[in-house]
Amino acid sequence: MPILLTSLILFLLTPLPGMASDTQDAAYAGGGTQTCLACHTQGPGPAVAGIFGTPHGQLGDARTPLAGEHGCETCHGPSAAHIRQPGEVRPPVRFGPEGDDVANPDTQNGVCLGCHQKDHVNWQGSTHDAEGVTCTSCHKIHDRDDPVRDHATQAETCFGCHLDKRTQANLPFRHAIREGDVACSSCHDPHGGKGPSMLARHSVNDTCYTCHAEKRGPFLVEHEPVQDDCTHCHAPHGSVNERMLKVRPPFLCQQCHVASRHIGTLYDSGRLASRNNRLIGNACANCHSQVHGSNHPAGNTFRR
Amino acid sequence: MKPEQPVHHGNPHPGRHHLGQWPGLLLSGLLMSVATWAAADEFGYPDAETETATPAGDTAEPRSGPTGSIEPGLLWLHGTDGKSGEYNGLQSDGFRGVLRFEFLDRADWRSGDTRYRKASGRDIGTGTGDLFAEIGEQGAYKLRFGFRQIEHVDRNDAISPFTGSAYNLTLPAGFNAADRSFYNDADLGVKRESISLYGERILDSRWTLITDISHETKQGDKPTAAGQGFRGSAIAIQPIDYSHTQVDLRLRSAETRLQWEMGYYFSHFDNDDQALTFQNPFFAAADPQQLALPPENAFHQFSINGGYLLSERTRLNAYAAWSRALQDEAFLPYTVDAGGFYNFGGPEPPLPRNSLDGQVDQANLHLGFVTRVTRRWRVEGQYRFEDRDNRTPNDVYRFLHYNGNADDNWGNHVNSRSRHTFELETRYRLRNRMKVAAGYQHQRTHRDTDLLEPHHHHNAMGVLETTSTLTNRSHMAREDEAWSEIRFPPARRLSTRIKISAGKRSVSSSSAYDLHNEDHDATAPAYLLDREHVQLEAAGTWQASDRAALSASWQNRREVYNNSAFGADRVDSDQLSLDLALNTGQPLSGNLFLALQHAESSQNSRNNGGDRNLPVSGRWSLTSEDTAYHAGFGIDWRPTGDDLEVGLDYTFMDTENAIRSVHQTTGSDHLPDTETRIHRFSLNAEVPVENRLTVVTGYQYQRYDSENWSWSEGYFDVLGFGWNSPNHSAHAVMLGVRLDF
Repeated sequence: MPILLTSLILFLLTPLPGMASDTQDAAYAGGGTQTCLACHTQGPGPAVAGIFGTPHGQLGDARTPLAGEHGCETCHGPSAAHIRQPGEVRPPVRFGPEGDDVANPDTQNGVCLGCHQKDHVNWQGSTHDAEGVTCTSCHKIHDRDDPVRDHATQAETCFGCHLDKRTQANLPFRHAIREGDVACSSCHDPHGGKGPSMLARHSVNDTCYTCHAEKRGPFLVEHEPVQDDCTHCHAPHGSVNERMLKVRPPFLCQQCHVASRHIGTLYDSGRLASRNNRLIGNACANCHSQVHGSNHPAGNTFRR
Repeated sequence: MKPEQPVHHGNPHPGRHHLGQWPGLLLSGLLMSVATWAAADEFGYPDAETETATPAGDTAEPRSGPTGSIEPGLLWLHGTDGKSGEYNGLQSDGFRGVLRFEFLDRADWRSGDTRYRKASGRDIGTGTGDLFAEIGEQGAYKLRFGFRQIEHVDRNDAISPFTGSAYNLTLPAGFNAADRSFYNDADLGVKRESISLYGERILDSRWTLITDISHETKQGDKPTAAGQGFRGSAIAIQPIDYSHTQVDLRLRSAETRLQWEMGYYFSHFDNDDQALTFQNPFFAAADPQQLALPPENAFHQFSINGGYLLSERTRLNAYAAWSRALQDEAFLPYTVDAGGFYNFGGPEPPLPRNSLDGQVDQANLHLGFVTRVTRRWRVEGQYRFEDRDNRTPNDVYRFLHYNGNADDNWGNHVNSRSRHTFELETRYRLRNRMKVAAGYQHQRTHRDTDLLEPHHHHNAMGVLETTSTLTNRSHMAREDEAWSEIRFPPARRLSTRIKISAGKRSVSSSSAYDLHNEDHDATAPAYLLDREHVQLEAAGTWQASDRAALSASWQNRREVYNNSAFGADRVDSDQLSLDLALNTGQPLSGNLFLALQHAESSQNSRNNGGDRNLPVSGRWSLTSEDTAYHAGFGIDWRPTGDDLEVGLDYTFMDTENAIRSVHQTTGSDHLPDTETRIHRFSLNAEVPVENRLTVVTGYQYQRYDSENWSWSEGYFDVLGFGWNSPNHSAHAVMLGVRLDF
């Protein structure tokens, strides 16, 4: 076992052959940004001047890519060959969602992480990293306004891949995602969260408590599934049922509570006709309104 | 006008690969045909092979100095109701002024001066607007002030008989629940307002200090239960006057190989009052009753998060946090109905303690690694540990039933949990964009509950005594899941992804689940039941050209609860989404989408005659089905280049909830389906009239039809609250002028 472990550690420490930059043998064009702008503002190349209105384009900040001697090539790689033959040779680091015509995701993201790793220490190993999502899959680097960084427009970017979430966010009972008051990043950290499902905080409940702190407790009377995981009962992306419940009450409650007396009663059309107070209105919550926890010394059935 | 998410125009991820297979093939084929037509040369799209993948951007450099825009407008609303204004603050008809603006003052990018000022305001006047102001020097510091409003309307058609002050609800003299004249109109909803201050100071090339402070107030009303059972139930209006303060401090360090961040997070929740007192409309109206409102609580967390680049091949990540949640608000008395219905039939017994002294400690640890064995082969693993240690004291309290029948004692349940999760996954990139991946996860969750169980017995003198025994109940859930995935391109512009995962959970318990000493022998909460699940996913994209893409995804999940004698026994869900994006550049672009989601869960139980001592009778089973159809399209039209812009969006949502049951003796039954249909249409235009002046106009229409038997008859009583299922046809017209400077 020690030999195996030592071998594994040594293996992990060794550099990967060919792992170094794809651009290491290429030559820089020189001339900084002006060389590129000759074509990429008025010329035939794609226009990119919007970047000068973004933090990336500020020469006064020595950390920015354009402040360095290589200008655009800081990110796009040494492009002397591209300058000589723009129609035939592409810059070595081409950005975009994973595909044939762009650099592989690791190369692309490696460029960004060269400066931004400190902001996104959990990126490696995140679901997005594993799935080959590139930074430019979501971010528009050359535009002054990056829609994914705006609460009001962020979800549009996320829905591009998470098609099912678009439908859920438009169900009758939902969070205010359509209005932009709640953004995907209100709960999730797309760069690698601390919790499951890339949640920004380390658990479902702690994420929910950032807005719903009144449900955190601790309470005298805890409702076990509530403190265990809000998603036992709620569908946070939207639901057909009121209060974003996974199943409408009283039937949701009866998936766990099946004991004697009214708890095990079948609430059917006959009881609807008689307007049974365990079925209409808020169903069980017509009496048991404190289901998220009660601090009342006589609140052991969540009625106080 | 408060913007809503438009149907998105163009696929923001033209290279993403999703295409549904099995149930969507027919529809996919139809849409592919449309996409093929859209991609044809005669439609004007360049051949993808000669087209650059980089989208066109700005051709002019941004102006330096103060720039921005201001857009005052007038909004007219008609046909609104609480649901139409649920989240946008537009729940009442009439005119209102709205404003949005943007401002940025930044020196020329070549100047070397990186100081800037910026501010923005959005939807000011709607009740759900926001304001931000930021100053900073790039590379040195950033200071941002924010103000946000979020309004959530619950109902604006409620009625309530209760009067009196906010936390002390009384009924009018001679109250008659069936008489509408005793009820008053009431609006229900909450409004959040938060102020925030974010600061970031870059100390040097290695250290950064970040401070994020916010304070939010949440005020309004919500419905709650004003009945104590067995004598009818009523809904009362509960005032909400919460405040929540959060402080997030982080110190960040960045070196070539090691990046880490140390943080402290503090959250404090406060409630304006701790009790709601009310009269029961059904009994002893003169005697008040009381329920506890959410108590003041606080949460502290210390964390450290870091990553280390072990080699070009391998990176390690770690996160550790320790948290403490506290709550020690003074207890309310057992009852304020000393001489009425809910009392002990004598002197009120003393509480075992004056406050809970609640304390929950949490510990979290995540360790992970990612390594590339070769350039094509990636392996990653994670270990997560979560511990919720509830250190709240156990005590015995009195069970206050009614009319002197304080017939039992009970011990508060103190629930704790610890969970270990191990994950290992590997991915291999084959040739021709083909990838295979597989993963395995093992999770062990140990939940335990401590409580003092009271026991009644007669002592040697024959006097009834109650003693308590500390009891621990524990459950160990072990869950394993394995998955595999393949991504492959069946054709040059077509790529697909297919994933299958399956898992099994087994739960062992220290004792039969017995929550309230009732007949629970054969049941447990669904998350403590054995379970098997299988999930299939298929997704893909057909990239007809760089300007036309068809994406689709399909998912099916089946969960079976194997040992469920009563309660949940099965959950099935399906999701299908199709998305056609056309981004032709100017003058026309748009997209079309269709989606179907269906979830079905089944459960079973039994009647037993309303008394725990009666024999079991009437087994029954029930199925709940939720179905949603969602469709829409969006078009952007710019007939004259960058000047005139017209956007048109339409979406349709149709949802249904169906409850079907079968009873052992009474047979099959079904409740009326609950249905909701929503049509949303919007037409927006921006018309430049001068160099920097643009007329901005828009029209939104929303038709909302719903039928929900919970509220459908507008019950004029203390339970129904007078509510109806929302139905409206709401119109909104906006006219504004944007001045760019």
